[in-house]
Amino acid sequence: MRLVSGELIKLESLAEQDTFVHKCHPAIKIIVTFLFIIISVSGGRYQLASPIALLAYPWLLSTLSATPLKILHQRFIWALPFPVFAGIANLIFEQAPLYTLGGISISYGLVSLIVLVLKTYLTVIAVLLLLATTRWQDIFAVCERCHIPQIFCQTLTLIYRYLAVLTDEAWRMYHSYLLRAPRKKAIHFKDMGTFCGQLILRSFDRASRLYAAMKCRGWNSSSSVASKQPLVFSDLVYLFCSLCAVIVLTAIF
Amino acid sequence: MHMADALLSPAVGLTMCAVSASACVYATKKIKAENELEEQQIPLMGVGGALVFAAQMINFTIPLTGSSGHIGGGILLAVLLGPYPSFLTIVAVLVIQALFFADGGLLALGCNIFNMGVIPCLLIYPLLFAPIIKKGVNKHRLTTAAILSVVVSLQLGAFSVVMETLLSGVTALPFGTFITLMQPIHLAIGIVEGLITAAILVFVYQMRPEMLDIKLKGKNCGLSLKKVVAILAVITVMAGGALSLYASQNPDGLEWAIMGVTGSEQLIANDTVHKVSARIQQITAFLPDYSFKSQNGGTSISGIIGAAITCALAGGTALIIKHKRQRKNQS
Amino acid sequence: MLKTTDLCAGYNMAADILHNLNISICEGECVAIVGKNGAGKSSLLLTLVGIVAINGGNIKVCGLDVTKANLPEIRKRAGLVFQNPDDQLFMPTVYDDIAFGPRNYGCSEDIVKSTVLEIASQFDISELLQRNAYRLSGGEKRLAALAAVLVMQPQLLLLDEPSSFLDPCARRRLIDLLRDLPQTKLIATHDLDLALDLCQRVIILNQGSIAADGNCQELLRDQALLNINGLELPLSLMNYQISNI
Repeated sequence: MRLVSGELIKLESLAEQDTFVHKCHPAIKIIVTFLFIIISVSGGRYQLASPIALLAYPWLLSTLSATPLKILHQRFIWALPFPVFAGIANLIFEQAPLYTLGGISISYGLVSLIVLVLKTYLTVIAVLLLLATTRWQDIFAVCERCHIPQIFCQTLTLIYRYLAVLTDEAWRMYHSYLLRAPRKKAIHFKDMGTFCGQLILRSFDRASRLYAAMKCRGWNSSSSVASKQPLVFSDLVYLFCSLCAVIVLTAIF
Repeated sequence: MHMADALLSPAVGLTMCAVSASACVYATKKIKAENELEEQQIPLMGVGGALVFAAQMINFTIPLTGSSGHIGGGILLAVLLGPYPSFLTIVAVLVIQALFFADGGLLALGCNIFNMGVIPCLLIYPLLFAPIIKKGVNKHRLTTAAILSVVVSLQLGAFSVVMETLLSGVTALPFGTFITLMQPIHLAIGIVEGLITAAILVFVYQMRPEMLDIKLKGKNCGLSLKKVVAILAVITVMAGGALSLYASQNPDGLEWAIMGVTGSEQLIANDTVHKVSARIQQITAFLPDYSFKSQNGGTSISGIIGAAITCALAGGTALIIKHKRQRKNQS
Repeated sequence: MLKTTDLCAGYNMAADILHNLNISICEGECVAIVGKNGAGKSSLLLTLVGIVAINGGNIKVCGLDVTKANLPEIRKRAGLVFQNPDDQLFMPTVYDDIAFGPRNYGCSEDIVKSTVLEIASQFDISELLQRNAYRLSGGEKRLAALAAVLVMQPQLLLLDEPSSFLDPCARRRLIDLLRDLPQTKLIATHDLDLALDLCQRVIILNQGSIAADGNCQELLRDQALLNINGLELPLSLMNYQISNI
């Protein structure tokens, strides 16, 4: 459970670095990431070349932004199970050979499994790289700037802020429970209602104190919660270059 | 049951994004129209969202088995906050999970919002939970309503995961096998989560009945049948349109994106892209038997080698930059 | 500066938490409110800024009646620092949090920036400005929360348990800092030593009513009075007694 705040802090401190990629406007980085993901997943089930070629993007970007890939790889493993499940099914259902390399035949299923894993890698790493190079408050500021309703932006900001506070609280409650229940590995099913219910009551009390604290400083629902960063020329250059690179890569493969 | 980007085709992903985005707009408008205390909702939504995270961290033992699980929370939030605020909260939670925890992805957000937000908060809560509880709140009704709603939400959610995956064409799993794998698993999960949701709601109801009462007695639960039919019709038409487009052309992602921006298909007839790529290919082709697409649907071996070389070049460049930076740091 | 007449207040109409309070505080005074848990200290502070509903009597804060129309102005003139900084620091960074109030009151971004930087250097937290609130220590959080309120230059400062969550050093630093602030201060606290250190006057609350109101040094030495109201002698005075024996 501590993992959550720990993981957040790791990515967050990466985002506070000062490289060319970090300085780039967050909106541009979001657009590029989104396009990259669409392009990564748009190849067919047996198109092995385009995902391999696209590996260039995360590797280059992580180097340019001085982000250690190791941290991102750990996270990638969490995302694997479901795609691998779908891929293994292909392995079973599609055994016809697609390639023959020196007598060993490689089936359609195997190729599609590899393609799925590669696509998962590309899409997950792309998102993580966005996070490792952009401060989250900047991302939320972009949301606000795109005229996404205040109520949503503020909810987003608050959830992110209280994530660590409430997980810590749940963590303390959880361990105080386990300390008094030495033979149990986790919370007993029948105590779960009371346990979570308590957490809910505490959290809602906190919400009302929070509301009071916000009101005390003149808040109302239309207040802005973010500071803004202007778009500069080099941002557009970055957008243009990334787009070109990606278009060329997809066109070739 | 988060969908991952890799399991989606751009067509399915973007369609679901559009569906979910319109649901978000609708919910925002509803909150503004129905709630004078809109601003009081915001801290509740923020803390409520964080709560979902915290609740998911708590493992509990599932009776009779040695394993442990955790809860999801769509229905729970809907009861505590009301359908529209809870929907927006779930959306925010999913955005954060996609961005910060690599749970689901950016493109898959649309699907995830639909499966875990629209279904429990905007469909099941007003159509199933609210009618059961309408006659008055008590322990038994709360329990029945919670268990039923959670089970049905999860079943529908699992079903749409199956549909989204199959329509994207990334897996060779036959529909029947896939569905017989997914539904029973989610039935088991649903029953456990339903029991816990019920226990939590009963506890909160006993400790602070007013927290549930206001939400349940308020006007904002229960959609009229007309509206539900209208919403479902819109979703069906949009999904149908996207699917037929997908079936007829199977446009690749880039084309799809360009089409979205320009609104015209003529501009990017398949030929154009292929011509451009053929030109680039002529210039860059250094593998003699390189072919653009092999007959059997896969890339030719030389294509793969070419891709690998590109990738190696990028890796090499990366290494050089890294090396230079290290030397710079040392000096 | 602050005057309450026959004030009754509570979270709902049925049950009053505060009963017939008559308090009057002059400009520049520093007053402690003490009392056992649940005596109504926090509720009193919340009532003064219009968060807990007034059921009877009236309040004048900084010359304004506490009514709905006056609330924005009152909240600007009277700054409330919450007991738990986690309730108060909800913005992405410390900078944004301190800037939150001035932005809400429509200051331009330049003015916001200069005032935030000024208050940060006064509190010696300039290096924390870009940090996230949940990565601060207890003492740092407290200073940030205080700065976020003081940046609006209130005339009256309401503090709820300012010394909670602090280690002895941070507590000492906070006391020194508060002593130097020119504002009128109303401090709700269990920390009677802090009250002795900072305040000339103390109000003892018991079950929502005033049990005593007077000179800090005198009242906090009155062991009988303190015991009746569920309090104990301040530690510093206990030592004094022991050494006298």
